[in-house]
Amino acid sequence: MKKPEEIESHVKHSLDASVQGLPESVRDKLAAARHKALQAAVANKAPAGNVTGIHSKASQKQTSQWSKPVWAMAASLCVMVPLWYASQNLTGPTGQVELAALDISTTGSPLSAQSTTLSALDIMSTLAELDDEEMELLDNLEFALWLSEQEQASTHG
Amino acid sequence: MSVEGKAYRMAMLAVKNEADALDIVQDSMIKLATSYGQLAESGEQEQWRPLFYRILQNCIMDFHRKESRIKRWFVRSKPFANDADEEEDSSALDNLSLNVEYSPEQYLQQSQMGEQALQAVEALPVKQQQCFLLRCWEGFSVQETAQMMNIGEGSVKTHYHRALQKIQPVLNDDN
Repeated sequence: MKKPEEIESHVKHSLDASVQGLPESVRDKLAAARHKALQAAVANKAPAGNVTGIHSKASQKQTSQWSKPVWAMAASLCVMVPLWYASQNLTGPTGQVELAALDISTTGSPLSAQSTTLSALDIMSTLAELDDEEMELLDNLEFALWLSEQEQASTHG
Repeated sequence: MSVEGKAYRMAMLAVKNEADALDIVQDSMIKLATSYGQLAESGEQEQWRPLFYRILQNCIMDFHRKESRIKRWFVRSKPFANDADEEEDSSALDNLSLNVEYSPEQYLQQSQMGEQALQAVEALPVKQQQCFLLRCWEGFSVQETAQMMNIGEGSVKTHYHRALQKIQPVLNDDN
């Protein structure tokens, strides 16, 4: 019965011998692979927005890292500004407000009276009940809105 | 001894196909080359070797996952063994000659080099094989191997012990 050390030594010797005995064709292919890897490394070091105009994956990753908090902040501002604006126009003793900022094109529709007159407390409580996924959805909606505006602007421009 | 030569041998033992092994080594080297910049920035250039073997192990595991997915959909066969069903692979050594398909030329070459030990390593389940090669051949510590394979140190010891247990009878029969 061989000892573990003997087995390790035997296997190690066999492995080393098998690497030494690799055919020339395989060695050539491995050398080519090494060369290709070095080329890839050099290409990766090229600055973003190079001659090809294509940004590297690394730069895209960096952009996505800082863009998330920025979009989250923008989305929360979009929600908070109308609320703050509405709170400045409180009417009546019950705290009923007219959300002038949100009153976009509902005038004349049957729902206009209900939709334009909302309780600030209701909105605040609704927002407070939103979980992370819903907040993310809200962010995504804001982003989609912004994106469509950008697309429209680019098609008109 | 060249690192890519060792890496190729490891990949070859794991995937048993020259073209796939070369692809894996090339992918690993490209990934290492692209990650090396980050390593250099953090002043950890000397850590490139563990990083390379970690990348290599991940590439090998990815290859097996892909293979098992293809087999699951197109061939009615047993999927690639993971930790849970590695126990069932204990018969792998019994089916040694059935698992490994060599051309006559390769077989002659292997037998000339006395590769009974290598065949035993080749027949090991992938995680045991990786663990054994990293510990025995590359000389990494239990801790380093655990980090490279993204498993616990206890699992490394278990895999290594099981690998030794499976190789031992083959080498004893050999002599």
